Amino acid sequence: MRKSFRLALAVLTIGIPAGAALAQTPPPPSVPEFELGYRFVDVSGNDQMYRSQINDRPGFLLHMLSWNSTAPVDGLFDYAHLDADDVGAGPAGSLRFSAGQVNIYRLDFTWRRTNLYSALPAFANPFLDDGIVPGQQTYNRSRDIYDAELQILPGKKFTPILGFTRNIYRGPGTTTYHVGENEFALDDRVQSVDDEYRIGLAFDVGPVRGAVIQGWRRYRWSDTASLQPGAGDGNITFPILGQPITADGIARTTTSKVNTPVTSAWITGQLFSRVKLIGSYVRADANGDAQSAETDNGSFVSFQIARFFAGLDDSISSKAKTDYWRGSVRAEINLLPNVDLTGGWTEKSRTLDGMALVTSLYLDTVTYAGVSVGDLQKLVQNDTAIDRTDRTFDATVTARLFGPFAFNAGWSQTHQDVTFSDQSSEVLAAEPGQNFTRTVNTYGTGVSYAQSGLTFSADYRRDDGDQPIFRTDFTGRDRFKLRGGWKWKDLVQIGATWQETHAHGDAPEIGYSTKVRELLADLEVGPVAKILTFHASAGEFKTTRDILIRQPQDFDIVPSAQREMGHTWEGGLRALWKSLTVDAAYLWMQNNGSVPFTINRVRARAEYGFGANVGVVGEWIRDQYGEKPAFDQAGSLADYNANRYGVYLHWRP
Amino acid sequence: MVRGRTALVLAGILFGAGVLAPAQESPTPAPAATPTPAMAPAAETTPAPAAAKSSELPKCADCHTELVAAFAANPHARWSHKGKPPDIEEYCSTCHGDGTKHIEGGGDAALIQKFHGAEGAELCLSCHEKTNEHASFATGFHSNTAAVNCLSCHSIHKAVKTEPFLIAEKPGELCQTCHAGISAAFRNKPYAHRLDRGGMTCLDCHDPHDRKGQTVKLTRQGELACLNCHTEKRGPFVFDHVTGTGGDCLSCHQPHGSDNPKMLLWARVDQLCLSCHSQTGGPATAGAQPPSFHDLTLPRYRNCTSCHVAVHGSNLSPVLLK
Repeated sequence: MRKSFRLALAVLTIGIPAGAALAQTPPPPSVPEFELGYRFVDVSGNDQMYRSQINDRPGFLLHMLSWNSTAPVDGLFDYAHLDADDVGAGPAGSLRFSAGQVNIYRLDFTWRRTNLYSALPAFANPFLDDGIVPGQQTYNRSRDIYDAELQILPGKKFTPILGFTRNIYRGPGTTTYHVGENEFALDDRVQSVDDEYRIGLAFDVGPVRGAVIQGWRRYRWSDTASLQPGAGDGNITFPILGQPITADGIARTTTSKVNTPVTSAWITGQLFSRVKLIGSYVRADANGDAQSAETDNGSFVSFQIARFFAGLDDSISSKAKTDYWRGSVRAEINLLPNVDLTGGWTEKSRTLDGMALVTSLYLDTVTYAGVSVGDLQKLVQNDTAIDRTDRTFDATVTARLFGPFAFNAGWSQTHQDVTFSDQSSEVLAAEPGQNFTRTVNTYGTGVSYAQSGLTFSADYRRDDGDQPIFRTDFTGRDRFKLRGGWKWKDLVQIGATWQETHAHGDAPEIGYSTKVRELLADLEVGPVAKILTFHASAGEFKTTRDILIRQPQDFDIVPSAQREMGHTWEGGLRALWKSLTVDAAYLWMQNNGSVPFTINRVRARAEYGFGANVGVVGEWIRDQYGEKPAFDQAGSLADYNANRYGVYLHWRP
Repeated sequence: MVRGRTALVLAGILFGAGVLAPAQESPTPAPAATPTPAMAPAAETTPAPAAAKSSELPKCADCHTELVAAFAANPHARWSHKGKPPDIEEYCSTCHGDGTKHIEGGGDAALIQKFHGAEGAELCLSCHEKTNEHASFATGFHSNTAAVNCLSCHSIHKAVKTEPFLIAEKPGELCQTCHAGISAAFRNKPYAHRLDRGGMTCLDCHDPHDRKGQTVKLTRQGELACLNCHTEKRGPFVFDHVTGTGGDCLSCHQPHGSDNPKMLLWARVDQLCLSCHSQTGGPATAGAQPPSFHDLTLPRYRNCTSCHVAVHGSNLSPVLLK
């Protein structure tokens, strides 16, 4: 990983000065702007928590790069553009390249890498009370996404399109497995490759435009899991009814593959100059196969008088098929100058048919009477089916450019229909064959105003649902948004936003309600134009979620509550003095809710320019995170203080 | 790993090749390429080409040297026909109109067409009104109003170099102008997507030109944009859970930043799960009640995912154990 970045950076580093050197003689130079350097990281406290939340890594970093061709290269391209963002040390970087020749081709390529790390102290951690962190489900993986699209004869009446996307997700982790009467910690490694090939044709014929794309998705997944060294005692470390529940070995390999042809098409047409029709259609029928082989050895069941087993050989073969389509027809009608009516119909349908054949071989089983009957094989076939349809009608009137005002008002209705047939997942439905329907009507309106540096907008939406499918589905919801701002030259800029959502369910037996409020006000003052700017902001956030739940252990119905409430304060400055630019900001945030925490953040960056082309950048970023004690939260075990220091060379052509 | 390395090396070589590629003699911008469908009609709708091509008058580039030089990288410099000699004056006059009086007036700014606000944006729409499959620019979520218009977000001459579509600022900063609360959540909350650092932007998930209430992008398969990256959560799974059965990713997660681990809606996993998996009476709802041995007084049962690891769906276990 590190080597690959270093190699790429080396190539880039060699290429830049070499290119610059050659480009010093006419014809004109084609030199990129870039910022390249090294980042140091210093973390005290819980490094794993820091990596789960931020994960800036030490190492070489290409902060940014931007290069444009300034002249065509015959036979290759008329224009080319390359840019990069945070490539190197991680945790996330990207690169984008585009090039083309007029009337011949247009090529776009992007690559993005993300390092994904999670080792949270309080997540999936039954031993948190004992001060043992992190939890048992962790990962340290990466995701690479490559996407390339080639248009041939772009802009012509007919444009062939070729495309390819690859998404690779891989790396180690830890997970858990519940078998018998205990859970065991496993080492886990996954690798998945998701490829999509596309071929299509775009057309632009008179008033009609559109495209038809046929794609093929090929997904492959493999996962190997095995008992962690020393984890044989499981999460329950004491005997149950005198019987220790332990594992000597657990090994499982799972592979799955999914093939999905994807057809998509859209078309637009202009009628009578005032009416535009838009249609779209997507169909994706996925066929998946999964195979799993598992071998477990140990003592997994407690009852001496009951059947217990010394080992398990499990093999599972499953197939899942979904037929999915989504279609829409829309119209945009220009009623009057600057007054439009838009509306349409959208429908999507998904059907799932699944089958899993589970063959379990229990080794050395003992009956309730204590008689050994040797190995016992059990075959279980699960058949699942789900049908889901969502149908939406909507209409909106937009009136814009009425002097400084604009208005909109709209309505939409969505009808959902879900049926869980056969066995489905046991967690989904209380009983097989259940059918749920839900209709939501949404009404909304908004107004905006802008004149002489003053802007204002207000939006309100009301949703009415007839009945829930999930307990957290609202039957009534109100959403308010207010924004205002005032800008006077480059001297003063003031802005404020208020956003609030109230949702509730009608059923007193469920007792569902949610309120979310966000307030933010900011101020920017530039007493010396383009030289010195101060900025500050203050915010308040408050979330309350309430619902009644039934405790499984005693069937009592009790209230459950989630709280998030706190404030943020930010302040900073930007200054330019001769060859020195400074940009610094400080943030303080506090949450007094279900996870009470405080965050202190500093962002400081200074650049000193040596001449017109070269600058040296120094960067300091500090994140200080501290939690207060709370039920089932990590408290001070989560705390960390992370400082990153970067030194970069900034080259401006 | 090997492929990642190869891609990086290829990128480096491509970059090096671009840098090393012999440049052309002309210091003027390329006639360049690709009339995108939206740009193609520009030639037809172009205001009358500048009359100020007379050799006696100065050229635009004589005064606006840097502006004109930088225009070579501008997508608007690509609609010209191949083989036609580059003529930057024509590009300028396409939007700014006949500059003769402006030039004759010694560069009087009042004598050249400039663009501000919604009225200026109407010129953009004269070419870019052609719609895609979602909505047209004129009637979309950010339709052309006095408060929000093309020029609120796009800058023809001062766009961010590393971003596509001539965006005036980094997308996060740009969207923050109006959506300050959401932007602050990304910036401040302890669990959030890494916005504007490493390539992810608001535009990965949102289409700012789509219609109101429909600004979340869909994958090429018509699903929620989350699955563009988190492709392993797509399935199909024999034993499905929330996604695809009535809910979606947002039933449990807050993608705009969260105070809770895994960007969940609830701080405690058991409370999140039981908010659906409780049968307390009232209307019939999906979500089965856990059996009574799930004793919530014990930590292992409050960590539902310690056993039910496959919460996004499983091909192996009806109760999502693997």
